[in-house]
Amino acid sequence: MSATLPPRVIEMASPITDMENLDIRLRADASSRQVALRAIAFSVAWLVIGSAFGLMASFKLHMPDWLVSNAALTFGRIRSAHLNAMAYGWASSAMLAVSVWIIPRLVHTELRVPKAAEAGLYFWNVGMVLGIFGILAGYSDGLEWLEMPRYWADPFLVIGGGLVGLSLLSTIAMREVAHLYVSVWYIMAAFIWFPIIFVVGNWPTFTGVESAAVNWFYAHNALGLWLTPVCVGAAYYFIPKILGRPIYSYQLSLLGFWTLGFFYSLNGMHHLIGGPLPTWMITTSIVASGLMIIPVIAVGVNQHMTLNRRFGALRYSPTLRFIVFGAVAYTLVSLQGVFMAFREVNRLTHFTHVTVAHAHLGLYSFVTMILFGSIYYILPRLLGREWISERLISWHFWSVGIGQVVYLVPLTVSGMVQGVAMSDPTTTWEQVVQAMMPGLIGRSIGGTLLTIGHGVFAYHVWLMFRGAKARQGLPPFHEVAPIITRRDKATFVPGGVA
Amino acid sequence: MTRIWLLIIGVLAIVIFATSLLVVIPNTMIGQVRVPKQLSPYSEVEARGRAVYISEGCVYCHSQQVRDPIYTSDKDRGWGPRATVPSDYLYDKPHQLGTMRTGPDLINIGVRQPSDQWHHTHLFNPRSLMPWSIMPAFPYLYEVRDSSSIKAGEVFYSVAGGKLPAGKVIVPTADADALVAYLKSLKRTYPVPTGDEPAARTLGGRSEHTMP
Amino acid sequence: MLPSSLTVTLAITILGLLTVAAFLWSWRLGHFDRISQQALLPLDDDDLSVSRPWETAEQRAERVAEYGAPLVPAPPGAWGGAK
Repeated sequence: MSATLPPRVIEMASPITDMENLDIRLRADASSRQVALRAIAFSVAWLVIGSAFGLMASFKLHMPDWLVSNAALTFGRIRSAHLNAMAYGWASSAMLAVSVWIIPRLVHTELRVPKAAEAGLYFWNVGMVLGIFGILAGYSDGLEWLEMPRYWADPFLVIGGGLVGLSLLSTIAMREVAHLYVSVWYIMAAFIWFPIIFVVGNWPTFTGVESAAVNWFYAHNALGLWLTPVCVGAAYYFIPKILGRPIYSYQLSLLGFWTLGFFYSLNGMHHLIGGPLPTWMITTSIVASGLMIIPVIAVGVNQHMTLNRRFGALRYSPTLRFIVFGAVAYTLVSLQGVFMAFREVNRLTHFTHVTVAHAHLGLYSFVTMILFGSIYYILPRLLGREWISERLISWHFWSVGIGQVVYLVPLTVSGMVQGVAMSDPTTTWEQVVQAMMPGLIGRSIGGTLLTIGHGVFAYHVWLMFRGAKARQGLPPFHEVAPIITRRDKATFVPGGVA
Repeated sequence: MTRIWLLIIGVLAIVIFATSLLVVIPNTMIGQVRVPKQLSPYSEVEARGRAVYISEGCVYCHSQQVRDPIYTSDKDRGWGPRATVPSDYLYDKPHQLGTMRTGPDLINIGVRQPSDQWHHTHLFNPRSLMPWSIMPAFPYLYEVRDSSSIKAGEVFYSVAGGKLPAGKVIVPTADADALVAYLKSLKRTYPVPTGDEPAARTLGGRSEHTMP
Repeated sequence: MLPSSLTVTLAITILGLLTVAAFLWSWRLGHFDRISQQALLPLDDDDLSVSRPWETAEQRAERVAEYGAPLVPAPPGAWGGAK
């Protein structure tokens, strides 16, 4: 097409046979196997721990005299233990697994320095254990999303994330394809962004409102520049992979990447609307939040149009079911976020449980569902055996699916009632508390369903790990005889021009 | 995309731009804020109380900010006579502005509730004062003692609402005393620093709707 | 006030222009060549030729036309589920 192709593309234009293609994938999976398996095991452990904390915190809000005799069990500590166990323990460990597994596959080579990635995983989880114990023992740093002690827990996360990033970057640098697929962009960017924003967020010198600005600069970017890119990257891999067709518009996905990075990174101050900050900072974030509509629509259109007319696939593929659920939630939560950033909406929703529901729509319905879907695809290929029970998968899906509705709808509605009640100065605080009650109880019921789903999932994963020793086999797809040639094989070889 | 470094440069540019805009530039600006005359640093015991406030996670239900009266009811609810401004928080490290109001705002709680008795019985069990409250009880911040065992000079409180057996009283621990001292110190009712104070000119006192 | 100052306006304009320049340059370097084929990167040959049970006859015909016939039946667990 273009006469000015970089020399590298031409160098790599060696014909690759189908057999080699399959071989590349097996080699890639084998190279990331150990790290990814351990990361999945850690992440599921954190999922169970985090669920217990979350459920406990939820019940405490309508049973305020339950488990109050010990400081470690007070609401304020359990709540932040829940957030940190989920965001950094479960989601991040699962993301490490997804990243080290996807990247070698997409760049057609083995995971480089896997020992560094593995050490990184251990560092990360040691930091997590120290961090959670720190919070429970009362050593919180006092900043939302940054509660884990900055001197004796957070450095482990920076080193851990950095080591995994190093392994991933080395892998990408040694790639055997010319072009980097958009999932590689997202994942690579996340691993560059995370250590930077985490260090900035934890920087100890800020006081007063600046401490608030840095706090929310970090906290929003933890979602926007760490959790979101990896999960969007995973969706951009799995949806085409399962449907067997490329995403609807690759250009749109590239536009989505740059606009996501640029706008999301400026969003943080919308958590402080009306607060004592320089107005221009808050306005900047509101504008950036509004512009988030661009990357969100890009992802939304892409995932919907790729799936269009093939919705039957959701019945066949649990992976796709979870991932499409997550991708739809991503669109929903982001559009909701755009509106919640506008001052006129924010004056009602700020300081209410609508924010908590919104956060769970993002971190649960989007991030967690995508990670569930990814693990459903990855684990059998690493263990060389299929999932044991269709029924357990089904229970997991419906339990967490219904659980989310029961969690989110009452909490959002009663959060709005709470907001309206607070904005009327003649309502007493007793009336405000009563307005939130249905949502708080709904959340406990929904949270119980989610926890049951997590139990089913954890049990299934445990069965997989236990059975893996008994029956070592080859991963699915291995048996497919590579006899079919793609029509455009002559003109396109993954990794170069022909 | 074929060049990894081009991607890395773009990715770094994004995060550097955002950090400059939202962290570095504000840092230089907020550095100019002067301390209001009426605001004093936390005393040793208040600072200890603030540490308790942080470690118990009070911020997850209580904000510490009054938003602009033009478009919120914060002032009308009696949470403060004016919107709070950056100079009100100069001694707050880390900030505790909060993002949730499961309970009321506390930036002026020291004005609203100056009573030790109220704070201690409320912290020991909020339902002793307000049966509908969903705030956690903090019994571990208190010793429950027989009223007969109280020695002369010891401070103790009786708890209403049937939350303690007859003949029992609570004696605050040092942490509870510090926490109450901190709560009572939360007062931002002095007028907004104006005139030659750069705080008011550059940052504070400007409502959300009057931005040029 | 800093954000409204001329310096900031100029700085932002220059930054913006640099971004556009970087984009055009990377375009010339071939980073955006054969975009639609880059979208095929996650798909291996055997992914494309596997028969998807949810596809309509028409979609199956498209797949055959696009990636060759005959389609191979999916191996167990191909879609990330149980057997």
